[in-house]
Amino acid sequence: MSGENVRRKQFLFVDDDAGFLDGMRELFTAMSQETWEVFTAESHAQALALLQQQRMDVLVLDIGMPIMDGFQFLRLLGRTHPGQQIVMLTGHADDDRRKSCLDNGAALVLEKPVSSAGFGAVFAALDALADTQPHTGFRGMMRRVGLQEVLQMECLGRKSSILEISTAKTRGRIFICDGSIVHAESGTLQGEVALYSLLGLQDGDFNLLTFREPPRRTIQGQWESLLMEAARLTDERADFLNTHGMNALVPPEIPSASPDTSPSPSVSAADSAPRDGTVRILETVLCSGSGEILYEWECKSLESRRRLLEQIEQQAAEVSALAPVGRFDRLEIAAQDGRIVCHVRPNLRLFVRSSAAAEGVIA
Amino acid sequence: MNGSLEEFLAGRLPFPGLAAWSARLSDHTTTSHCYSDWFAAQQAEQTLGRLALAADSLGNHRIQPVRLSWVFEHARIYLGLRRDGACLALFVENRPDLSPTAAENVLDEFAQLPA
Repeated sequence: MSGENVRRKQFLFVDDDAGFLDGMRELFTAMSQETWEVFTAESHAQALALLQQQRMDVLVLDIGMPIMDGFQFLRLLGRTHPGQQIVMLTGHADDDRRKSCLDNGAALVLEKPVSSAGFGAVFAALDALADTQPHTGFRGMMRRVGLQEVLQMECLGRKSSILEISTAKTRGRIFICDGSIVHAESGTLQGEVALYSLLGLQDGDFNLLTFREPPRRTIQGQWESLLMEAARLTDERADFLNTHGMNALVPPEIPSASPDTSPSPSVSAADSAPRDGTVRILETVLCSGSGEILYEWECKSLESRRRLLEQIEQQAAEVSALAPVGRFDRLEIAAQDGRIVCHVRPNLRLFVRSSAAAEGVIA
Repeated sequence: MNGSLEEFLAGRLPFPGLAAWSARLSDHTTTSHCYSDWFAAQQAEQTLGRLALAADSLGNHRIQPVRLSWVFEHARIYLGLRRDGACLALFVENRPDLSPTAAENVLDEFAQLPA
């Protein structure tokens, strides 16, 4: 194969040490036998300008940069150039630094080479990483795109990928294999519940990652049906909010009590009933009629709450069959230090736990 | 406790809207009384048995209730629980003009009755 027909791998090295950059460029260009094209930037501004003009296979970033350190720049690139392969170079790759970089999207964290063997190892790692990038197809950024649309594109194209989703409070992943949604996870949730919970998010960031087999496959069924169900659940939640207002779900006052460290939720003294006589919402869970979690706030065990609501619905149905009491509406539970209300409707189930109510409030 | 319970209830019941009551003592004997044809004694006792089981099952969810109110379209069923295992269900019409206070007071006093 002639060299002219081979696309050269594009690398961008960002470091404030001009001498180091020159050395890397000369050495790696020679080591690659001209199969690498090496760009350099002495500042983040230069790097961003180059990234606007030129697609890079791998960006190699020094952590110890002035004004904005490598961690911050890494986070910035995660937003401006999602999917960009980034390798962090540092003089001291301790565990904390390594974890912080990898958590923020770096593909590798490498120690700055100081020997010829070190340079050889770095070269080999960067070369292999560049090979993992697809050399055909478009790469870019879409703004204001719904997760459903991204999933639709991946499934229609029969792609395999991992859709990583993050918000300030939530981080989750949806696994797509050959155009089928095979697994989802979000916090402690897995499977369809996790999928619906993620697709119900209003805003956040997403990133498409290379597919790898999930720990287990928890979702079956047609992606079209799954997305339709997600849309239905989102609509139900919107209807509920339109009818009851946001206050139905969001606590009016965030409890200032110290965090409950008990292993699972309970109505206990740890919830610290307020001393001023006010009632505070401590926990909220909203499920669809089929048990999918539509909303939760401060719930430490969603599965337990979901089972509780199912159980109450079943027990109420048994009572309705025993006595002429009519359709079930809700169960109010007064406990030593709190109050729980469980509403059960054909298409919605709501669990609300509050601090101790004043006498006579259970109504 | 049977005698003292009946004496206690006789002094406080009925209150407006109360259709029936049913009690299960700590020895698992059950007693009940209906104030109208709406509920039969057997229905009240079966319902009490079902609700007592339901209250027990809340423990699986780390919820320790002292009083429950099951609200249905036509009736509210208040259930009071005692530490010795006795429980009392009050079957009350679900009407907006009826306050829960009367039922709750009876259940609170029931919880304090000597064994």
